[in-house]
Amino acid sequence: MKLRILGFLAIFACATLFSFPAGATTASGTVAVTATVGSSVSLTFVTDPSGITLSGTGTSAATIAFGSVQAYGGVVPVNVTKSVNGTTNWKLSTPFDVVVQVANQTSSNYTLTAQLNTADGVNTWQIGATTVTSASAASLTTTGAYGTTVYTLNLTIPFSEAAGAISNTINFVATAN
Amino acid sequence: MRNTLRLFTAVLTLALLSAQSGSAAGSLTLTFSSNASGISMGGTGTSSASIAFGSVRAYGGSVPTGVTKSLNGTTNWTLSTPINVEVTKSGVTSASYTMTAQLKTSDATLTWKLGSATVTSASPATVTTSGVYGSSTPYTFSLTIPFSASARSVNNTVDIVVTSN
Repeated sequence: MKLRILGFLAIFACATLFSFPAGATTASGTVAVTATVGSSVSLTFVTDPSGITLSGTGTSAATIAFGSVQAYGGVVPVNVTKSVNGTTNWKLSTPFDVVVQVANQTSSNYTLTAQLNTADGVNTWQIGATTVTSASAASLTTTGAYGTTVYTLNLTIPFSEAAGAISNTINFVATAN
Repeated sequence: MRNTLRLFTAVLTLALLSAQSGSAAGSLTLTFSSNASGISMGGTGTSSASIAFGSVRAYGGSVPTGVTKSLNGTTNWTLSTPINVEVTKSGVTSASYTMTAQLKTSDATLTWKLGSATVTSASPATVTTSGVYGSSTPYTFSLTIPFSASARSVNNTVDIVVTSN
């Protein structure tokens, strides 16, 4: 009887040990990952529903093309306003959207500046009520709220100016506060 | 009685020897390699690889070749790249394997994924239950960073285990 019991135990042990390797074959490896995440600010221009259609809308390099315009008569693009100031000057105005976003930085608002790329001693460039020149960066806001803000571009042309092409670039810089 | 013990000892010894030889014969190997469309990994061809994204940011900057950066509105942004995983078997009767992944260190801010599996340190996440032996299989590794997270260094390890089915 003892012999039978021991025989069964031996067979059971054998069967158990034989079956072990098939169910537990594993291999392992590792992938180490490193990155340095930096903070960043995004500035893009978007066509305002009440403004001229921007070329490059949704990007940080937009273009406003007023086309051929004149103080008296003629036409201006849709959503561009022309106003004549007596016989002194006349102005073209249009709103456009500035979208500023921040990532991976604790910041409640931003500062926005604008500066003309090339000096213009004749025409007056304004963003809202702020005059923009090439001399230095003009502050448009020091408490800009992240998201979309509407600004108005005003280009004032003296009556005394000779007819001709006007071309310039306004450089905007948004800085997280 | 002495004969009985001898018989038992002999059978048990035979069983142990058989089991040991069975264990030695059955094995899996796991290796990582750079995918042709992915980032160039360190330790390619071994079981200890590394991915170095370098300095990255949501807006602007650049990412390494083979890495895709995608922005999800103003919520988060993701870096992703395919990596190759190859599992081979020797002396194992198994048609497929199961692969799990687990973060070595907990990360409550970033989201780590391998394939469609979200990988955390809490428990191993199943990446596949039907892995194919002997073929270099691409899996997309992705790291999602919330916009609200502060700038930081990321340094963690994904532990991967493959088990024969």
